[in-house]
Amino acid sequence: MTGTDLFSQHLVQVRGVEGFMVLRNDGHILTHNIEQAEKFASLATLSGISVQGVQKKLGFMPFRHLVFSREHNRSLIVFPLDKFYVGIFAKVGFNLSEIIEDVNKFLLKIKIKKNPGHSPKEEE
Amino acid sequence: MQQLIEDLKSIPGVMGAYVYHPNEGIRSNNLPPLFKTERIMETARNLAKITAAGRHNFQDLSDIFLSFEESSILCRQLADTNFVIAVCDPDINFNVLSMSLNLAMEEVNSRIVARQPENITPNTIQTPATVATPTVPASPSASSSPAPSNPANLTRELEVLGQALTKFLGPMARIVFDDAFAEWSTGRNPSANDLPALIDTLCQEIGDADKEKSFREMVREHLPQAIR
Repeated sequence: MTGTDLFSQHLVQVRGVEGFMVLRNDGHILTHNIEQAEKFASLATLSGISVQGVQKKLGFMPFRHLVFSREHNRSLIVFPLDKFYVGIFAKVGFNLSEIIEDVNKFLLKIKIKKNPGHSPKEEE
Repeated sequence: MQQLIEDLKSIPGVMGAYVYHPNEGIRSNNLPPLFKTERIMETARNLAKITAAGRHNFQDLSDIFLSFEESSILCRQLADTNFVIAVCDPDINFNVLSMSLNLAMEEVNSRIVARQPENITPNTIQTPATVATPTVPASPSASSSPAPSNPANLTRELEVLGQALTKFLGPMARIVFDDAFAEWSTGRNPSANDLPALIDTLCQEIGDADKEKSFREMVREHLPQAIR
């Protein structure tokens, strides 16, 4: 199973996840199942850069996730994963905290499985 | 604004909050002293960038929530281009925090409405008289008398601007108008020729290109000479 297959098969099974994208931190998309992925990849990438600005200024560790919250539409959650970002669109009406927790569990498994220097792209 | 961040700070898990305006910097702040002004300014600038990028993609974006190991940060852009930013414990429940902010804002808005003069009926709460006489203490005669600081007798023009602004900023319009009026009238004897400058300032406060355009069109209908 390739790295992108791993995401494709598992992320969609997380309760409350409507769509996902996996991209490098330069904005290059590795895999996705959403419309207008390019547009949202740019948003995730540019926001990731600004988040790093916040992180450095406040002396924090790397961020765990970033949420673009919308009241009546699907929210976008961006997770960093080494040199990659994983973007999740949450279904309306689902608890964001639970989705974040479930996706984090999945990402943690990936981190544990991953060999040093191993990336989703390299697995392909 | 101070009341809003005090309300936020009273929520368990919230360390403190501040209000940031892109042009004016930090307006209110009750974060612990270890959060230096320069740092929270830079943080706010980055959050404003993230919000702008988010709004470019999502017209209905409500909040930005950032989670770090050490803390979580909630950022919400208010209707008047102010940003309210809360710094919280890392594991604070985002939904609870967001809802608490909604409630705190509702309470602040209701206080603002409650500050309106008693003789103004509900239909005229958002009318120009309450907004357009920013330097005059609220009184029954305030809406019928020209403001003392208004030598050129611009009462009608200011009323129109206040009324239009209220349509875009709601109850916050009064506060925004007061600030803009004070800035505009400082060091000058306001005349009709100066109105475009005030309109420009109000447009900056609206902070949304489409709404600014609508605001100008609305003003143009009543004050065509005031629009450049």
